[in-house]
Parts: sequence; structure tokens; C-alpha cells
Amino acid sequence: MSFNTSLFLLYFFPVFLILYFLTPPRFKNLMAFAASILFYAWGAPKFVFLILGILIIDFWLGDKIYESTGKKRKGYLIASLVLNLSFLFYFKYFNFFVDNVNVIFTALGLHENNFVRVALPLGISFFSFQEMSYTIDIYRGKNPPLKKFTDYALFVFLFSHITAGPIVTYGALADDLIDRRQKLNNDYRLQGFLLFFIGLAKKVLIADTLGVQIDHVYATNPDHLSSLDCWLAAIAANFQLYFDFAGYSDMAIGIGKLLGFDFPTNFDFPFSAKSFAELWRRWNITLGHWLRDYLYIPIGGNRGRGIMPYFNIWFVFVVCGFWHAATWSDFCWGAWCGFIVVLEALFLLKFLEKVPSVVRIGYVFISFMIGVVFFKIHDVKLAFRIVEKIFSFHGMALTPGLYPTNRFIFYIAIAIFFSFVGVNQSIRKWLNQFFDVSDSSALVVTSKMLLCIILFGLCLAEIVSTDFKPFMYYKF
Amino acid sequence: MGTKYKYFLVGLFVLLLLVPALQRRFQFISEASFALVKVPDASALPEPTFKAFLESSYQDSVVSWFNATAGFRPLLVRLRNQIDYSCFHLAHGTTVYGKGGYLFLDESMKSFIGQTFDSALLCRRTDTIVMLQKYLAARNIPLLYVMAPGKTSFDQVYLPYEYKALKRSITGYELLGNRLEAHQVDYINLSTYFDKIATTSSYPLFPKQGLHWTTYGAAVALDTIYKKVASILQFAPLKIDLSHVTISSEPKYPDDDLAVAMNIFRIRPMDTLATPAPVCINANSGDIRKPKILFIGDSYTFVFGFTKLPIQIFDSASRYWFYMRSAKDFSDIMKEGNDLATIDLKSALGQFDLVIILSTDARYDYGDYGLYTRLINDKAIQ
Repeated sequence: MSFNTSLFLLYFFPVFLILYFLTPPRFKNLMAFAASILFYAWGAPKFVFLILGILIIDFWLGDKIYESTGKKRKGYLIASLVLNLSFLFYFKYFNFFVDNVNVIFTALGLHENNFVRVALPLGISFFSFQEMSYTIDIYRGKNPPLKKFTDYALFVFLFSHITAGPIVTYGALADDLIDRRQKLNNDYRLQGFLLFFIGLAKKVLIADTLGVQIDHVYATNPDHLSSLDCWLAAIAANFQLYFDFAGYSDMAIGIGKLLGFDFPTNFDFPFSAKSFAELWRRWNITLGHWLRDYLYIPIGGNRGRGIMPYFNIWFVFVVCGFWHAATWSDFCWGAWCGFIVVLEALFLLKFLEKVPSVVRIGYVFISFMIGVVFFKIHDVKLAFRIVEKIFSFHGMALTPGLYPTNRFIFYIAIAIFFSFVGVNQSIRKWLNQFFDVSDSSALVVTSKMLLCIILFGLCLAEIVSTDFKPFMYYKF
Repeated sequence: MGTKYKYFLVGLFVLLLLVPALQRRFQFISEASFALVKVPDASALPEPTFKAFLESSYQDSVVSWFNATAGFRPLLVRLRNQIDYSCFHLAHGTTVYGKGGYLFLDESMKSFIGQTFDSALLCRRTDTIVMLQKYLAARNIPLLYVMAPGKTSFDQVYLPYEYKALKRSITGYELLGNRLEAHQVDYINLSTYFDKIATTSSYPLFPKQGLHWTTYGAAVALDTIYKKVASILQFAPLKIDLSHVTISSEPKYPDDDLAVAMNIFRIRPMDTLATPAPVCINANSGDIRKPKILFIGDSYTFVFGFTKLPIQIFDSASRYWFYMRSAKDFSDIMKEGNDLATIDLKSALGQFDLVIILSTDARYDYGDYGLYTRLINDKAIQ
């Protein structure tokens, strides 16, 4: 069940909220967990019991890690990591592995392996990371394990973030899972609604509108595309990806607020960044933190001699690419992003400090845009062809049939404004505080709520008028 | 801000989310249905099966069903379409927004620019017209083919720029004209005629917001066709006076059919259109012949019915075989016609003095609408 369907918005969500608000605090986790099972079973019924089984084992391993010492403790942690990683590897990378083995076999003139393709459980990349953060945090002594299974299951399985994040580490949510009565108030709820509806608008009005044009261009034979077509699609794809995923994150964080949770911010005006590394500190922040804490630092981080610190950076980005999807184009995406960050660490950043902010922002945007071509197009050859077209500057006119609509132009203008407005620190601060309604006057809150009602009406009108457009991160 | 007010706002939001579902269930506000769009039956929720549930196909169909039957959907769809139309000059579905607010049908435009053009098919279909002509000639029934102007070709200067820029191959119009000429099929090219009179016509021949010719345009076309019929059947035609018209800028079906299909609240004011009240001079003189005509054609023939002219100039037994699907009577064009599958076509044809096939450019590849094949195969149920 996706957040941008009428089934979720008009049935599941309001009914759940009413039941949740009416449920006594000590049963709220149980109630939210039950709703999450229903939510997940609706989207991926084949996997719900498998995931519940893994949840039970991880919960038990968490207790064991906490109770044990020495090698046993480490053994339980390794068991948990092996369990989650093998689960992730099997479901996410088995098809990719066999496909590539078959390519090699074919090249060598051998017979291909016939195999039944493995279906991908919904949200596997997200809940695998969350489960690992639970056992690792307990192992590191950051937090004790949760006493109730339902509390733990809710941490991993809560419907707001199970399908597409944000990745909430155990440490960030541990206290709220046990007791969040202080946060079960109307300030949180209003803030939650505000975040939810603005997130919905980002997805439905901006990302989906841009997506129509992008799909139109990328579905066209590249030989018939002009350089300008490719530029327009690639630029729009940057904004589409941002508003799609940031919209989803806002909705998830908003649902969290409605339930009394504080999920961490996932995007902080990434396109206003003045270096590529800074963009990645502001883009999918929770994934970045997870990779930093549970991968980059354990493999050595910036320690070590020679090329090792740089290799570590690059390696983490490659893992990040592959984590998104098991395709060579996602590998290219990760490798490209890692390459740029390494270049910055080597010398580029020093050079960039000398150039005007506008140039720096432009460089960051275009660098990211090249990566997004690979992220969007899962055919490496085609992606390279598009990048080649972009920089060929051959045909700087739009191809008939691919002209953007006025609606596209309007929403890309909105996207540009809200992406780059973060350059101004005071506006960025004001926008970040926009969702906080606790100290606002009735007039201000009412105006914000009115904005939400209008946005909800516009989004609902769009949703019931068009075909379903899934969130881009749902496939991960 | 007071605690009560915050409770009110939270409650308001929950209610806001619930209202469409309540509307769907109780229909407490009556909603106008969609024009020309099929909406699934609200009671036909997909049948659940365990297999379909596991494969998620059941969930997909339920999501689609909830979307299609959501409360306030007609209102919401119109809201979205209206915003796109008024703010972005964008039309949805099969309608395309052209320059100056001119609306076009997507399918017709594709046909016009040659995107959907299949020369082999058109040649085959033209051959059936030739064969039909021979078949009818053997029974002393002349055939007249009318090449009618489509909205797209007539108003092509108002096409969106990107369509105009698309490369156009040889069109059906050119190919059909050449073949009809070569096979000596009697035909009138109303496209050329309409282009000639476009600037001199007293009133618009095509509406801005409709697909078909205006009622006035249809009357002009029918007047021309009538004169040709008179020359083929060799009788003195009535003189048709089209100067009596009612002028109005109020949208009136079918002059605004494309606008109606857009499902919006309000369309921009239309151009001033004329609805003629044709008068036939000498209609009461005794020796006037009113031939029995059979029209076979697309929806453009439909508009003849709104002119009230056919009932004045043709015999009351004249009929309009709408896409060869139903037999309509010009005296009540909106009435559902008799199903042609139940009619003995051979004997029905024998009653007419002349057969007219009328097609616009988007329908040239319909040929004779399958009449000849049906006559030969004798599939009619009798």
C-alpha cells in the first residue's frame, strides 16, 4: 500500500489514526504494529511471515548480545549480521549474480543457468539496515535491548518507514519506543499533518509532473533526441528524484510525529550545497549516517595511509549504489558519486573554494545530474548514450513531440525555487522551522493548515485522475 | 493557541481524510457524472482470491477500484482538469489544447500529421469502395463518396506548435483522392471547398471547442451534397436558404463536444456561432423530388440531423447508418438507431435511390465501413 493511493489516504490512514488516538498509551505500540503488519501484508503478502521470523530471531539475538560477554557476545552479533546480510544478499542480489554468471557463460559458449527469479521483498534494503543497527547498537553498548517484542517489531516494521525509510537507527528511537507520552500531543499531531501533506504535494504535484516529461524523453529512441531534450530530462530528473524521495521522507516523518516519534530529518536542501560531499551530507541523511557509522568507520574511515582513506570513501559510495539496486547502472551511479567526492578530497575542494558560490552550486548540481542519469536508466549503455548526448551539445532545440507542457514549466520553476532557496541561511532556517507549530499563533497555524487542506485537495484530485505512480524508492 | 482549538484542528484533519470515503458510502452530496467517460460500477469490488492476493494482483485491482470510485471523484477530476485547462492551457484525455484555445482530438491530429497512416490499408479499403460502387451500379443505385474536412485539417493553423513541427508524410487525403479519381468513383471533396469558403463564410464552419463542423458548417456541406445528388439523380433541386440563423456564444452540443469531453467546470466563452434554420424555397411546389438517401458515415453525418435540413430535402425513409452499427432516422438523430446486425442489408439497400459514404480524414481508412464485405458474406440476420 502506497501513501499516494486513495486506499491509503482515505481509508487506511484516517481509520488507523482514529484507532491509534483512541488506544491507551501502553497499547499504542501493539496497535501500530498490528496496522503495520496489515500494511505490509497488503503490499507483500508472501514475505510477511518470513520477515516476522527474522524479527523474532534478531530480537532474541539482541537479548543474547546484551546478556553475553567476550567471544560469545561477538558471535551473537556476527550471527545477526550474517542473518540479515544473507537475507539481503539472497533476495536482492541473487538474480543479479546469476544474470551476470550467465553473461559470462554465454560469452564462453557455455549453457546458461535456468533459474527461477527471486522476488524482492518490499523495503528489504531499509529494514535490513534497521535490524542491523539494533544489534550493533546493543553490541556497542549504546542502548540496552527492548523488553517487549512489539516495541522492537514496531521499530523495524512501522509502516511509515518500512518501505522506503528514512532509516532510523535504534539509538535514535529507543527511548520513544518505550515511553513517548510527552510527545503524544496535538502540537506533534499538527506538525505531523503539516509534514505529511507537504510531503504528499512534493511527490504528487512536483515529482510526478516532472516524471511525465522525463519518461517521455527516456522512452524515445536516443537517436531522435537532441542534446537539449537530454539536458531538460536530466535536470528534471534531479528534481524528480529529490522531490519524490524528500516527499516520501516528509510523509514518513509526519506519520512518525502523529504517532509521537521523532524521526530524523532526511533532506536538508541538498541542491544548495557548495560541494559534492556536502550534498551527500544533506541528501538521504539517515542512509549517510548509517553508512558512516556502520560501514565507513568500521572499515577504517579516514585512517590509514596512501590511497586507503580515498578507497574507503569510494567503496562506501559503491556499496551505497548497489544498496539501492542490484544493477550495473546503480554501480556506475555509486562509483561516479564516490569518484567526485574523492576528487574533492584530493584537490577539487581547494579549487572550488576560490570560485563563486553560483559556480559551485552549478557544479554540484551537474555532477549529481550525471549520476542520476544512471540511477534513472537501468541500461548502462543507454545511460552512457544519454550522457554523451547531454555533453555533445548537438541539437540545442527541443524535438517536436517532446515539448514540455506549461504545467511542467510551472512545477520545475517551483522545484528550482524550493531547491536552491536553501542557499540563503535565514530562509533555510525559516523553512526548516515552518513545520513547528508549538509556539505559533492561532492565525499562523490556521494559515498553515489551510495550505495543507488546499494541497491535499490538489493532490487528491491528481491521484484520482491519473494512474498510480509509485515512489521511486519503493523498488529498493 | 488554545488546547481546544488544537483539538479542533486535529479533528478537522482526520475528518478531512474521512469525508471522501463517507461521500462514497452515503452520497450526501449529489455529483454530476462524467461526460463520455466510463466509470466502473461502484458495487463491483474485485472478487478476492487467495492466489490473486498472494500475487498482489487483487491489491492492484482494489487500489484501482478505490481510485475510480472515490468519493467526490467527479468533482476532483474536474478541479484538476479545470486548473490544467485554465492555468496551463492543458487538456487531458483525448483532447489537445491548440493555439488560441482551439481544441483538437488527439486521434485526428495523429491521423492528420500522418502518424497513424497506413497506405496499404487505405488502398485495400479504397478498393472496397470501388467494389461497392460496382455492386450498387448493378442494382441501379449510384454511389457518392464525400471527403469531408476534419477539424484538424480545417483549423490546422491553430494546431499546437509541436504537432505542426512533426514531419508529415503523404496523407490519406492525397492518396484517397488519387485512387477515387483513378477508379472513377463519384466523389466530392468538401475539404477543398471548405478551405475556399473559410474566409468568406458568414459564420464559423468549425467551432473552437468542438470536433465536428458547426451546425452551420454541416448545413453548408449538406447543401453542397444535395446539389451533387440532384445532378447525379437528375432532378431540379430545392433552393436552400441558410440566411436565417440564431447567433449565440453559449456552448451548445455538439458545437462544444470536445470541451464537454474534457470534464471541466467552465469553458472559456466560445466564439459566436450560428445555428441555421434552413428554409427551402419552392418546397411546396408539386414536382419536387425528395430522394431516398442512405448515408453511411462517421459522426460528422450526425450533425446533419441537428440542421433539420435532411427531413426537408430528402424522403422520410432516408437513413443514416452510423459507422455501419445502427440505422438512424434524421428526424430524431439522438434516438438510438436500429441495430444493423439485425437488418437484411441487401433488401434494405434496394429501397434507396442513392448511397452516400461520408468520411473525414481520420476515417478514410474505414473505406466503405465494411458494407461491401457484409453484403458479399451475407452475414445479416434475417
